[in-house]
Amino acid sequence: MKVFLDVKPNLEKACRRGGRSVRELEWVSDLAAAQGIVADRLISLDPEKKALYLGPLSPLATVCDEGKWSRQWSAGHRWRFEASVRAVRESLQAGQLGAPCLLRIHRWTALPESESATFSQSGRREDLAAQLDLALWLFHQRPETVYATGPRKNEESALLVHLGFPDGGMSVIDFAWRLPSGEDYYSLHLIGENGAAYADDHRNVSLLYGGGAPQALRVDGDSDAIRAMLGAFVGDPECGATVSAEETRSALRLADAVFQSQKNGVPCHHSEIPQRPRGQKTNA
Amino acid sequence: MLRKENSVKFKNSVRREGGGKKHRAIVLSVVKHDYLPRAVAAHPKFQLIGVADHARCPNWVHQRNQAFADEFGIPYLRNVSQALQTWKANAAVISSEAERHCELGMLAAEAGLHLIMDKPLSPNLSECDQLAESVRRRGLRSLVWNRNRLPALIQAKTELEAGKIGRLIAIHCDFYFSKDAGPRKGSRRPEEPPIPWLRRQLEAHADGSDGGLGLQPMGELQIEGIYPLAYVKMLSGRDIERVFARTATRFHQAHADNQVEDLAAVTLEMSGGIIGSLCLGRIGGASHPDIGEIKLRLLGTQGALVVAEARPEISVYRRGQDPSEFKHRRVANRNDFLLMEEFARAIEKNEPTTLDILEARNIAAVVQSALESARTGRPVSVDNIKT
Repeated sequence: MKVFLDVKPNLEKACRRGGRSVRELEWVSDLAAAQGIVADRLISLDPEKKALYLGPLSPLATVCDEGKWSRQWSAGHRWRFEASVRAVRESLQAGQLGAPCLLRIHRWTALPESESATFSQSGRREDLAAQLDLALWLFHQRPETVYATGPRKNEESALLVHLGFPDGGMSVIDFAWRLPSGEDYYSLHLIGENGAAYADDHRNVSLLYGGGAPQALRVDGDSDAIRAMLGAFVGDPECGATVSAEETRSALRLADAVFQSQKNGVPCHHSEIPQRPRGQKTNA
Repeated sequence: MLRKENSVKFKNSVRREGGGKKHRAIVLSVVKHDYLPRAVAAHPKFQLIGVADHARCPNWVHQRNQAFADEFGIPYLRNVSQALQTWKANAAVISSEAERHCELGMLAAEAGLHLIMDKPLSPNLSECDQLAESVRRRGLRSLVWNRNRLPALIQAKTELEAGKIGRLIAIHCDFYFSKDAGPRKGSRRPEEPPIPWLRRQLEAHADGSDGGLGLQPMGELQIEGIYPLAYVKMLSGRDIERVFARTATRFHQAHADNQVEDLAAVTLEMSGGIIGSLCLGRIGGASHPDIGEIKLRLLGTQGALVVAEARPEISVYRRGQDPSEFKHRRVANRNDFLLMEEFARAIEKNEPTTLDILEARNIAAVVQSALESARTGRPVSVDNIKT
């Protein structure tokens, strides 16, 4: 496959818009170069060539709606390939947890460098969609209710999403976008009928003593997610499947239902939640 | 009002060694969590003087009451009114079935006794209202048992009050008990009868997981919800005004047979525009190596705080370890003693307790609204009484 290293400036811009760090971008670029993966802006992708799209998600949905998304392309969702998320998913897939009952996610982050005082609606939509995609992926079905609420003051700073799935499944996803500048916090746990899996940054820290209270240093495994994402793209079975554009579009539509619920102060019910088109397969 | 408070403050208390008064506490039923009267007995400012319950109670109630009375060398009287009239107590400790809490509480309040109540206050909100009003009218002090004095909670409150995370904008709580509750859901054969709630709870007494003891089935929101909701109240200082909830019965046959939930997720909308959430359940013994994942996450304008309720703890792993034994043991936990300390101060100095009957009543209202929301699929406003 051809490698376009000259797209790095555009990729950098795109990655920043999508909340990705520069360091992550460098990993992506280096690994892409090593493995011969096309990484580019959407507009320059060749429909005949296999490509992993790493830019913002919203244009992807637009291209899908216009019927211009090539089946050769995959969407680059880092979150499905996080080591902790993959391990939880593998336990679920192996039947160790039983049927999923409750998914809880806390996703706290500082404002991206490119944002000013508040996180833009499009930025929040992207972040929302990435986590909602995990809920859709782990439950493997669409929710029947969506309820969302945020703080009355600083309303762009946090959002709480409450999903209800058929058969009593539920998910509560908590977003915060105004941590002080620094590292993010992430926690995901999945309660199943036969067991539970917990992934929490709280647990994975080292302590640094430099006087006063110790500083918690997260043990960093970020590069693993990027490697796994790229591995999936090049067909490594141990890395799982890539994410389809349709799945991404579903997550974005669900994000829109979330904003609708937040705005109206009432839940969106089944008929108001965009459904996946019939016959659409997912990368389950 | 103040005159009334002062008049009941030390009435019926006795002088204790080293000076000061010792409060005389009567135990009105001890069929569920005996750690309440044990905590009372262990505190130097309190003395247990007897156990009483109604003669009409079934034999198992009398057996448990008698066993506790025998252990502490105090009398057991099958006549509540007589005990209240003759034993000259100034406090009552109530750990009956939840549906009898308020009835016994009313009798004690009418006799002018300060109240220590087991949780939940009651599954019936109108009974909570009556008790809250009776206690208020008489100027009595009350404490509903809670876990707000655990070390991690005290630390969280301290950090929050010191402004370390700025102004609170969100608070989230996970409160899972990784306990089994009899047969797994789906294990009952079609020809077998449903599991009677009381029978299951009586069986659960052996391992102390009988928080739902009584004739009336209660889901986990009613049984355990008061603990995390009391955390939320203490840390936020806010009333929960509206809730959106989902509940399910996924784990236990007894819960399924009695149409009560063993898992719940609740979105909380609080006064001052603060948001929050609670995920709660009795999710099976296999789901965690210890009592369960219990965490708080607080988000402020200047930072955030993640708190594990179980800390501090130590780990013990050994050959021949019973699988049901917790491998991580909580240490430095003085919750029960500190609750009794604050109750003593409440009686003697009119100081508030971390969870009084009015606050517990408002938590019962939150739970009721959450259950209604789960039934209707709509957000439901909470009928709070202003404290």
